Amino acid sequence: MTPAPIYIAATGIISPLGRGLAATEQALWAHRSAIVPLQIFPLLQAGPLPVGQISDLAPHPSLPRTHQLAREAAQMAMQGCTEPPDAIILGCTTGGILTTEQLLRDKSCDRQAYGYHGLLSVARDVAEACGCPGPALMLSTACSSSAVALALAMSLLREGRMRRILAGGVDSLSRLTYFGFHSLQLVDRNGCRPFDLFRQGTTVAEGAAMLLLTTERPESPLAVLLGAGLSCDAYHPAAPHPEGRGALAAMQAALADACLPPSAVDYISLHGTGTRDNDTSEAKAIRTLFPSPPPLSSIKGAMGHSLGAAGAIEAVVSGLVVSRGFLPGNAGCDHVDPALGLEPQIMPKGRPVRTVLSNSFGFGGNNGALVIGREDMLAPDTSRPPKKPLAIHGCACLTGAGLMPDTLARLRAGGRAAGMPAMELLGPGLPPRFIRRAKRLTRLSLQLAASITDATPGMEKPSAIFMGTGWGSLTETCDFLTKLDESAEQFPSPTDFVGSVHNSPASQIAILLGATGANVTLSGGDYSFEQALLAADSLLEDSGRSALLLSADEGHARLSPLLDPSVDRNSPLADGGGALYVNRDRRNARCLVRLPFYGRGAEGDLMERLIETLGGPENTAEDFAAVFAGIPAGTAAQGDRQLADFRRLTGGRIPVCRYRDFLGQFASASAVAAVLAVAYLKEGMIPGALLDGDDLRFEDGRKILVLGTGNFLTAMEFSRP
Amino acid sequence: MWSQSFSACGRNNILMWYIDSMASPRNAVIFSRMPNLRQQEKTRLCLLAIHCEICMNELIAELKVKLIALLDLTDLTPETFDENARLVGGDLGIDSIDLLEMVVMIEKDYRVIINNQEIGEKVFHSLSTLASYIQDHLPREAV
Repeated sequence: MTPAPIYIAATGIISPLGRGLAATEQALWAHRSAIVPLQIFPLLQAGPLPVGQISDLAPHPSLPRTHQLAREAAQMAMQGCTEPPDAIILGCTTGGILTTEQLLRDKSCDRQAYGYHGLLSVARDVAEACGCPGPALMLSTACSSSAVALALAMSLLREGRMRRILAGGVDSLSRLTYFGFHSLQLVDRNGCRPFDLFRQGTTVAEGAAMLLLTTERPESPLAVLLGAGLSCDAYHPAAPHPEGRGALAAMQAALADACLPPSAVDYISLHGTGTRDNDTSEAKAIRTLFPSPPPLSSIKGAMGHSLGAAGAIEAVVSGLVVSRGFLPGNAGCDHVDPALGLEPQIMPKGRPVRTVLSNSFGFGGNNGALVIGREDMLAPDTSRPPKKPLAIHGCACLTGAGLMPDTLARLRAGGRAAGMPAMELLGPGLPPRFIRRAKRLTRLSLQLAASITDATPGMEKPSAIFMGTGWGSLTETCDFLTKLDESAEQFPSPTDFVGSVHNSPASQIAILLGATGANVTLSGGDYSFEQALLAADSLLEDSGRSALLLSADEGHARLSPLLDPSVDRNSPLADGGGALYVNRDRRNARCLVRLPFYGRGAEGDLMERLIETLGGPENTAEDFAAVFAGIPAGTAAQGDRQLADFRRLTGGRIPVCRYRDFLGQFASASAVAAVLAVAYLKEGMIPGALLDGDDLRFEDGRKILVLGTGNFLTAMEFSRP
Repeated sequence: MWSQSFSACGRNNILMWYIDSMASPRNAVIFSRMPNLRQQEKTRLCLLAIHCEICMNELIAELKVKLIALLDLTDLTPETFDENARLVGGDLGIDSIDLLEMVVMIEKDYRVIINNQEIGEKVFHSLSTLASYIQDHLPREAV
């Protein structure tokens, strides 16, 4: 593999400070704060809190604010580029929630109108606008979302399979986050004052930033992405570890990844949210890592905290710092808190900067740190040894039939496993006090984690978690908005807010298992499990560390039929998920998994390309014993066409199981299909009921293909080691 | 400590606190032991104290039920819920998010606002300190 520097070839940035690099730099030099009382949506109670808002964004008739911001930033970054990026990788926490909030308030049942709710819709919209033929991935790890998106983009580029990725983050203001942070008493009524003695919290904001990352040197790169590090506190759903344990681990990992010592860092772009706990723990972590810390500051006092967009916005600003040679000031801080033991750079100052360490920490202790610097700071050799395939050592699933043994038994008997597992099934072996706050999706996820632990006796607990979820915690989201409305915006629930973030289940698993490695949640609609697999394969270190790879979704009586176009409001709901224990050690592994294809669009030669990556039509027909085809009902016509294409191109010889017919319509059904593939490969037999024929016995060397259809086309390949 | 500081007070001050104690009846029992009180005043304060005790017990019982439901403390019953045990950060597993959930409930159900972390830590020390705080800060029309 060739050493691949990752260049920041172009950027797009929209924040309360302005649009574009020039305006952003000017505003940072002017040391002004753009924090003002909320205006963009009306409030039922008086006294708007300060926010960071984009005040000149014209309302769009159908597109939510988040999508508008993302589109505009993407357009800015892609201006003048004729070649589309190979992938889109974004971080976001709330998707189209601002629009959804209003629709729910109006009791709208117009399913079309909810079409932009899901997080994936943001990435898909950007992918369509850019003509991107590859995956559109959506990371959702709360306030570190876009830093993690950049870390994943960097890792994929280094692998050499892609050359150009448009990565970044976006979030718009919404009632959910505005009232959510307020309910946690994390909002400073005076506007956020990072590192100030009298700081009382953060300021919720909105914005977007996109970075076109390339492995080919552009004419004038803004800067180079030198390294990235991820970690998890595994400590608390919302509060950071008091000693900054996870923050320290992420910074250390990022510097190790960049092959740089702490002394090479010229400036730290702080997460610096202005909450008492964040600033305290971040300062402790910095003091531990840096005997004499470099200049540091937080720009959140100037623009507020744009949550899922913050990591990308700060990465762009870090690039600006490196290319323009200046230190941004720490607006809002008038009296530095002496207890923090650090002296932030209060006023902006010109000074050459070779490397920036940019911190982003999210709820659930999902941390990401990036190292951005000048080209001459690049380590002489950043190549990594080729990765071994992911090896599966254990699996578990939950379906309407129950846990894995019951699911397999039901399917073998010719029945359907569609439905919703009873709540009593979820968590009987888990400590009651640990799961007392957990609602449906978190319970499903924790039960999958517990089942995996049972299924892998004697093996180390997984240290990293890669989780997919198409829709996140619908119960908490619905409960939060309902209580907010019923109390005329007076009494939103802090518990529901914390539970509503997409990465809440994965961070709960981390606490349960003590998993302090990368903790990455992806929300890719019907391809959420595939996205989690892609991330796991790219980010799991080769050092024998293990990961829990899972995807789960909950059925919600009110929201699922409105949001998920595959859910039929007149049929019973289905939900559940699947989980795999993976590492890189094929010894004693049950089977190996890879994701050879992930493409966008239904037309053209997509299926030909897919089959090519599998080794061509002949080999595909030879190698695969069966195809498990995922055909979401919402895109059934497209899916049927794609499956027909596949059959036509492979001579129609491979038996097909349309697994949603047996598992029901829910976004994480492909995770259950993956678990079934693992189970049937081990048995060397697939029950005939699933294939509409006789029991299919096959020899050891043959593989199972799990095909994903619809707006994207994906292929997961399961084989014996 | 209270009685020491009040014995040094003049009669006018005592009367002022007496009036205040109508809003915070829990203090009535302390004031009833004040020197220089007329018998009628003492009796009224004692009645107030008894009333307060009953209210307090009712409030504690009510809060136990509410907290068990609110925080899903499914392994507790009102009988096993020790009102003097450490509420936040103790064996019950109640943390900062639960604390804020209780803040919301107390504001909603009792109109008592706790929006300061420092006060919050003291108030939520145990269920009985919480009950005392609520009773002391109930809006006047609710007493």
